[in-house]
Amino acid sequence: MFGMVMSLMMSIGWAEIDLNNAPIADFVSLEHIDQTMAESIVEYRAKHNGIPNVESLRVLNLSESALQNLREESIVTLQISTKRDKSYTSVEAVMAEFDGEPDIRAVQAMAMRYSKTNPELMEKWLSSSQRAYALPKVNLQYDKQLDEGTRYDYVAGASGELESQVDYVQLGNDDRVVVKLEWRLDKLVMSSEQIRVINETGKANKMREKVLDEVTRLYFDRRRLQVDNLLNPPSSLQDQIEMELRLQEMTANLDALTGGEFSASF
Amino acid sequence: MLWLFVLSAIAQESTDELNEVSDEARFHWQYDHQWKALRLYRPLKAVGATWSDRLLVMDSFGQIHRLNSDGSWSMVYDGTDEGINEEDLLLDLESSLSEQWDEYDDTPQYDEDTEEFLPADSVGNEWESAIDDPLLNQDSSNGIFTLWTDEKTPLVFGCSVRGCVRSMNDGDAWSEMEDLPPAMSFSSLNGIYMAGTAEGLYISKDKGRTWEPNLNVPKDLYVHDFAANQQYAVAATSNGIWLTIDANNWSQMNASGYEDVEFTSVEISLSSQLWCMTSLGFLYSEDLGNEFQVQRTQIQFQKMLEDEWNFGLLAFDTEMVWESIDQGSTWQPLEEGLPRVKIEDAVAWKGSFVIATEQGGYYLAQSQQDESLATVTDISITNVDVDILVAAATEEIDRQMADLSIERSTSLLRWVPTVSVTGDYGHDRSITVNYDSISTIGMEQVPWRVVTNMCFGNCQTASTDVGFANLSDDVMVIGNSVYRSDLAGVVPAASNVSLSLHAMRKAKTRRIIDLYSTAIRLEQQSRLLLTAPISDQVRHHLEQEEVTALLDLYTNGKFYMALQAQE
Repeated sequence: MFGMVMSLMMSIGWAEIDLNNAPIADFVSLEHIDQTMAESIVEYRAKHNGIPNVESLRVLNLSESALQNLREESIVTLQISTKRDKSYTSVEAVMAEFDGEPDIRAVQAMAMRYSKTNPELMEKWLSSSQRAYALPKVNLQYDKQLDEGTRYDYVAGASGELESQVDYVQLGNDDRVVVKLEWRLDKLVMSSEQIRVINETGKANKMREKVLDEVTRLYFDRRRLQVDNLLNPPSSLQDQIEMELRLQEMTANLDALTGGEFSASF
Repeated sequence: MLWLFVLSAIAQESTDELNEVSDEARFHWQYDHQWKALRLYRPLKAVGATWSDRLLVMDSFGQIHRLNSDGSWSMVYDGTDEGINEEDLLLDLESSLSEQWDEYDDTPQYDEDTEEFLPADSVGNEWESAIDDPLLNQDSSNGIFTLWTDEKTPLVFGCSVRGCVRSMNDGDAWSEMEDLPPAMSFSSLNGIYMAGTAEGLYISKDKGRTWEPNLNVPKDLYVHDFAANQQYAVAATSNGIWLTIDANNWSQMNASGYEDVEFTSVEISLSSQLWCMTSLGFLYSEDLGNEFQVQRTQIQFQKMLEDEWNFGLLAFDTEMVWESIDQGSTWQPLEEGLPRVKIEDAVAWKGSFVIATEQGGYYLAQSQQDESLATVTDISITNVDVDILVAAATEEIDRQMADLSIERSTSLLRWVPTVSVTGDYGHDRSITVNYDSISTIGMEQVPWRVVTNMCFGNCQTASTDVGFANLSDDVMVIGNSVYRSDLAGVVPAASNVSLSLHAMRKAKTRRIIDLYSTAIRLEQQSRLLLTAPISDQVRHHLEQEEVTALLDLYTNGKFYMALQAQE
């Protein structure tokens, strides 16, 4: 099906490690990457037939410093493929070529999960802010009363003078425990916390729409490029490289917005 | 003399032949054949349609106006110097005109002399020209007037002799582009924006915020026109046709014999066919300008547009609009209802064709009676109620706005007590309940509080105290309303958030309506694409999918469900 497959090594910065061929030891030699991380990277690579970009490794929950290190110290092997020996007679036949990739709704859901802006989370914030005031405000007070008295008894001494004799007397010792439960039922109707949450929810919704708009645009721009590559493949090697780089750029952007779930779902 | 007569006769015959319309072309034609006025009675210099199908025009003062959904116009950018009160003058004029125009607009008028009905617009135009309009009668500036809209974003660029401006939101707000000289043309490719100026080609990589000269092309390259599709951008220049795939690096197409020819206008189709107007005539190319076919026409087109609805090419010269469906071999004039006025610019808009002329704007609508537009399938976006989509999209905002209702909260809070239970080990155990309310006594609103204190345990008594609360401590006055002080910090905050939510609701409603309109347009276009090349069908399919995905996203899947319900 694929008439021509070429490999191209694209170096980024001071490239040292080939993400798609390096052994575990090479990954461990990088700063911020331990043995466990290195093993999970190699395991991911085997499972998904390669690593398309560093951003796709976000799905492994690597630290930002590890990801940054990989960006600076690694290279990615790209495969350039052109389809030449197949013609298409319907839109469905063309779109069927991409059946192995997630649809737009799945990608939008990934982005929502990663940006933590899914509507369910917003709903949880709101209900929590409302329910919080059903609980009472608890005030615990402990008083201990210590009353001591001093008694002076005057008695005649041997010289006949009056001498004082001190006698300490405890007059009272009272312990008091006060528990106060206060329900601010008015806060169930309206509270500053609730308003703050609604305000934050609005901001989060705007961010969600911005992210999802971007994800949707990237997804379809990428698909248009894939279709162009399929139906009108570039003739020169330079054009093929440029098209493949654009495709990889969009894939990496989608991975960055979905925490690597996009490539992992292939 | 005889020779001159013979030559003249041959020339006339030749012109008639060139302008002859084939039966196929007439059959293919799907417009109403009747131009109608857009009711903005001022000299227009440029016209553009935004990404969300908002129609914008620029007049001879550099002012930019936008068509509202009710058919009225709003000035969205005032490019004039301060102190010139042209808008008031024009509004008065339009007000007086529109009242009389209504009588003439849509009803054909009966001419007693010829015993024929005259087209409505021609009557209106004759009458219009008799108006002593200081704006219409003055000499228009012949400087640069450019209005360009991005197909994929709400970005708009406008240029007049006073400078260039841009809008990031379909014309709602504008900012000046100070580092860009007045540009004759704009285009974009892969997120890079290009501008053709008298000082050479400029590019912007940040949506027009900053511009820099493109040093990869000669500085004296004068770009008359740009055209772009998904893959290429082409420039019609004073020195041949130039092509780029990245907006940065340009190469001159080396069609033999056309290297030094002046190209004044260019259009490129989705499948990369090129149509060019040159000093040598009208040219057509199927290989991006490596080879040109000379098309036989004497018409000097100013600008060309691909007619995606009819798979043809629309073009205009100084006074007429033409259409061709055979790559420019034959041309059909679209003249009915169009007065003989100078045409300045044109744009395809919502399946219609809109022109800016020195007497205002005119549009030619897509025929709604044509059988080819009949519903192919019973499932149609037009059957989906847009109000349901808007309601679904704004449901969450509406609920939050209800939660923030001050009136509702205040009325509830008047009767909501604060309750405290106090247990005092070894001493009293009491429950205290406070009821707060506000009564109107005469002109005054007086807050009062009932304090109920029930004591158990050692006290063995229960007491109830009733007293009036202190106004300054327990209530606050905002306007004519008195609120509990519990809301002292809450009311202004709630008001601010409510305002913010209201703006969000408005923006979301507009977004849904824009997406819905786009979805309908794409659905109608898809019926015309059944015989188009597979690549065009796939691109169109992806565009539909994208709009559907966004509508589904904003309406929480209600759009998809509404379509499914039709099955």
